[in-house]
Amino acid sequence: MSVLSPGGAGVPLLELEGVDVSYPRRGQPSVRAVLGASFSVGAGEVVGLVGESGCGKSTLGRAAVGLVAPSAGCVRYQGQPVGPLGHGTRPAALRSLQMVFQDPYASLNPRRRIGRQIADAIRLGTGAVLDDGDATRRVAALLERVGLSANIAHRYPHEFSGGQCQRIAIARVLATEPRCIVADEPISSLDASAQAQVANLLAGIVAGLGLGMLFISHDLSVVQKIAHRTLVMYLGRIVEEGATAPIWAEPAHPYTRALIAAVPRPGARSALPSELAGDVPNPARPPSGCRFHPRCPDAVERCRVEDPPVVAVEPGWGSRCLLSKPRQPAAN
Amino acid sequence: MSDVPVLEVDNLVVALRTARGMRRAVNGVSFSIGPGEILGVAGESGSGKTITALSILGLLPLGARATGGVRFQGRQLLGLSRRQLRRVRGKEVALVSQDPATSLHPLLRIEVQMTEHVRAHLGFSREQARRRAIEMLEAVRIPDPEAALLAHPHQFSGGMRQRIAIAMALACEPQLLVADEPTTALDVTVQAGILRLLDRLRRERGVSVMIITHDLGVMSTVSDRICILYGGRVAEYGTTGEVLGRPRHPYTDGLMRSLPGAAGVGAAMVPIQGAPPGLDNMPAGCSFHPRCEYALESCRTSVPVLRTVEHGRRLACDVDPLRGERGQPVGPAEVAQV
Repeated sequence: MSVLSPGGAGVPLLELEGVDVSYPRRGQPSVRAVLGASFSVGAGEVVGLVGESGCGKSTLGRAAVGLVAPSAGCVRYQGQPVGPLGHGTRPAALRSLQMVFQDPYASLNPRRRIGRQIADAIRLGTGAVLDDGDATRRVAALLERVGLSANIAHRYPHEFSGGQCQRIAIARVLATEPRCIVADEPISSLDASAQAQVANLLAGIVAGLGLGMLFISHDLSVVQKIAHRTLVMYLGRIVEEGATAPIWAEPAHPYTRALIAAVPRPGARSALPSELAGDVPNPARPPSGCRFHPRCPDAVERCRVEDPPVVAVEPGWGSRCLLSKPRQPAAN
Repeated sequence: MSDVPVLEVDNLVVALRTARGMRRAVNGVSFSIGPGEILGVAGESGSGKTITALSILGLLPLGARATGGVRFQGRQLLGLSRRQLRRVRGKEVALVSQDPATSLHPLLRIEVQMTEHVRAHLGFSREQARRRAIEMLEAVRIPDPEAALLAHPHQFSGGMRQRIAIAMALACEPQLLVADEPTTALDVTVQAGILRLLDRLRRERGVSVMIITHDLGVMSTVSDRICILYGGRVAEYGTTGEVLGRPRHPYTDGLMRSLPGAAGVGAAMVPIQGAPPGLDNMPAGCSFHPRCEYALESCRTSVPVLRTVEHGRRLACDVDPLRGERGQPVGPAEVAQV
């Protein structure tokens, strides 16, 4: 399906192959939110997923942890298929695949003390039988791991700022002893100084514990800082994938170029960011040919009719554009 | 660029009613905006930036008390009656809020929303107001404005809705646009379009803009001058090039270093430790001292005076991270004690 190479660092923990996600609609054709997404996340690796709102990046993240069922393709975690969640318990094999959500106030229980919530996660996630003393000690260690003080365990979520709540939510995820984390916009609802704190915390956890992480964000500059590899998504399709630094330096896909050019750079004399004309089309009525062609500054006639295949720009670096060409490997 | 300022905020103090009594959310803030100028006001939650904006528009929550000067074209706005304010608001000073989904009425057609205030403020006929609405929608580059007037807000994307909200704010040709986080809810590609639009409006129409944002990247691309707020006070104020190019307040410096885009490629983000204070736990002395790596013993007790450090540049810090020296206060003390 795809020549985008699976596996970055080490053995893939999470693998998606040709994943389609459709949302059915009554009396109308279903909306295909994700089309043929293939990628993998290895241990110790941060994979960034970027794109505009409505491009399907959250849907893809939810499919990766089994919160929505793919209509085609498959998701595997440590070789086990990831199916949609039923009403029963999550299979033990999938408990070390966890998710961090965007809004920590919504993901924490407002009426339960945070220490209790973290202790619940230890019991349910690892099956450990804890007495009160064990629970207190483990909760304290987890709170300190995310940079909070251990003596706040008796408090409720509303007593904390957004950044602190997100740390608590991350502590609760760590309580399950995860091996792979899908983080969906984990910093975008936080204050400026908290954003860098939480991004560094997540990157530090991945590096320190050797976890894999899919980091979904619309903030390209954060992804550039913490992701080893980057996936760029447009209208349900992954249009570019590769190691972060080269993509950032010399993006192959015109959409990636436009996204990077639109990021305002803080500094003494910043130029106005470049505008990408038009809006993301309605995913229920995607354009013919290349889905990006109506907004693409480089589009040629055949972009209107041909659905572009993935071009291997370099080994491990793919671009879904008819105009992309393999590059000569660098001479060093 | 600035002859007579369009807006002059002078030692503004706003106290809000909280469960534990009155608390000062804005504590002696001063700045001015010249004609066609874009002033960026930056700060985290609790810095007082939104309350400052609301006091300019007379939209403070019930029980709030504002003192000081908010002069619009020389006219004091604080203390105006609701009736008098209503003649200024929407006509001469307009607000663009963060979330276009809530600033537009979901059940009314765009035409109704874009012509009502024009007819009320300017006495236009229905047809005149309609033509003005079409002209404004063209100015913000909404394709097919005539069709857009017949549509409802949900038929537009987030970026288009924010453009419509800006067109609506511009319809009475205000001299001042107060934009509270106008691009925070939008994608970078759409944000770039809105920022270019604001820049074009000030060049072509001479509109002054006060843009409130926590994003220094956004700020550095459009603002002429920048006002950094922390704990309800001005920490640093000056031209964009000076303040962001050579931050002299440890907070500004910390914000710049915590940004992923500011440091060079590969350089780590260095976050500021801790969280911004709330109204109920405002530290004594310099409100930034618990998070400041340069803090001296005296910072715990004495509130730094906002002093002029260079031409057109003001700084409220007793430690200058750039020079490592302490400066002499210039001019009368502008900052009130808590």
